[in-house]
Amino acid sequence: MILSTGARWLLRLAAAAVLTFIYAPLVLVALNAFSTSVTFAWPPPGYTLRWWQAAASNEGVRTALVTSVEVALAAAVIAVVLGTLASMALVRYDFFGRDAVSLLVLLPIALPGIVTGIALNTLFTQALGGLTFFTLVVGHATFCIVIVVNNASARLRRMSSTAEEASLDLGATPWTTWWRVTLPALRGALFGGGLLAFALSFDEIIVTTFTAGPGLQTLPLWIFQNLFRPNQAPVVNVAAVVLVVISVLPVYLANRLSGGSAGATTK
Amino acid sequence: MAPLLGPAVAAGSVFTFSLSLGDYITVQLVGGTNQMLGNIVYANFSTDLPFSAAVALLPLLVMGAYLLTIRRTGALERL
Repeated sequence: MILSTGARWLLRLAAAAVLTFIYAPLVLVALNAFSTSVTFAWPPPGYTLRWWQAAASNEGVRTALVTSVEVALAAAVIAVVLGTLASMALVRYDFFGRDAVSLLVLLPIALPGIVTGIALNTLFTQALGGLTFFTLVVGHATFCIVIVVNNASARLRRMSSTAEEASLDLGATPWTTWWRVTLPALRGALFGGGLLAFALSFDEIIVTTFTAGPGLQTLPLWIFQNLFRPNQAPVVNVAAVVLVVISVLPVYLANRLSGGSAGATTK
Repeated sequence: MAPLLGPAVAAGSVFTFSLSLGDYITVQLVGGTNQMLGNIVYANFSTDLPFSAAVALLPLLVMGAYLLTIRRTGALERL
């Protein structure tokens, strides 16, 4: 598309303005995590790793980080297993109500977190005997599955089923066909989907608030609780930087795995 | 070009719309004294669950109507 010079510059300016608006505050948080000043001082009077040491020796931050990683790993594993099964059924088989099921599978990500959260909370506390670590994992898995289904379905649709049919014609069992033919072709998409699911779970806070067992704290919950304590500000900045890095890295890796094409529809 | 992009834009709007519709965290942090539906649900959740549930139905209904409307564009196959 050929644009006039004026239009090109106008678009460049708009893009720069929007990106600055999004990323300048993030850069400030990162700078403050290294600043010698406790309160926000500009420009930073000096740089120090003191807050990183403080964060590393802070029991709350450490426990929260471990919990976050554990929950995200467990939710990603559940999402990959169930998401793969769902996408195989939705793409490779034709059955009554397939369109409805496909819509129902995708729906959790289109529902506001607070609706999912309050619904799961009521189910867990009133019918299933209370909140635990496991309820938190299940809560996260509900929206993580969608990402895996998206990734796996996109790959399955691009892949012709002829190789699978050939394998079955040559006498392989469905299980062998899955293990030797379908899974190897799908592996990248599943790994990418798992990474995105991990990232999605790692920085989630709304469903977490409603499904975390008593005393359980993830990193986003810890940050939110300590956000308004002035003396914690530098440690909160450090935790925020850690959170950003751990949730952005998987998205970047997943994008590279899928050649930058398949949907990185996290947030 | 706009007609070609339409369904994809509609699919993208599902996420942005629903993320914004149910949010209460961002509202608390940078929303000043404004309240959104999510804040009301969250604030009354532990004291008055039925009221909270009733308010939570609103975003649910809005999202349902939204999804049904844009399903006509074929956008939901590209979510």
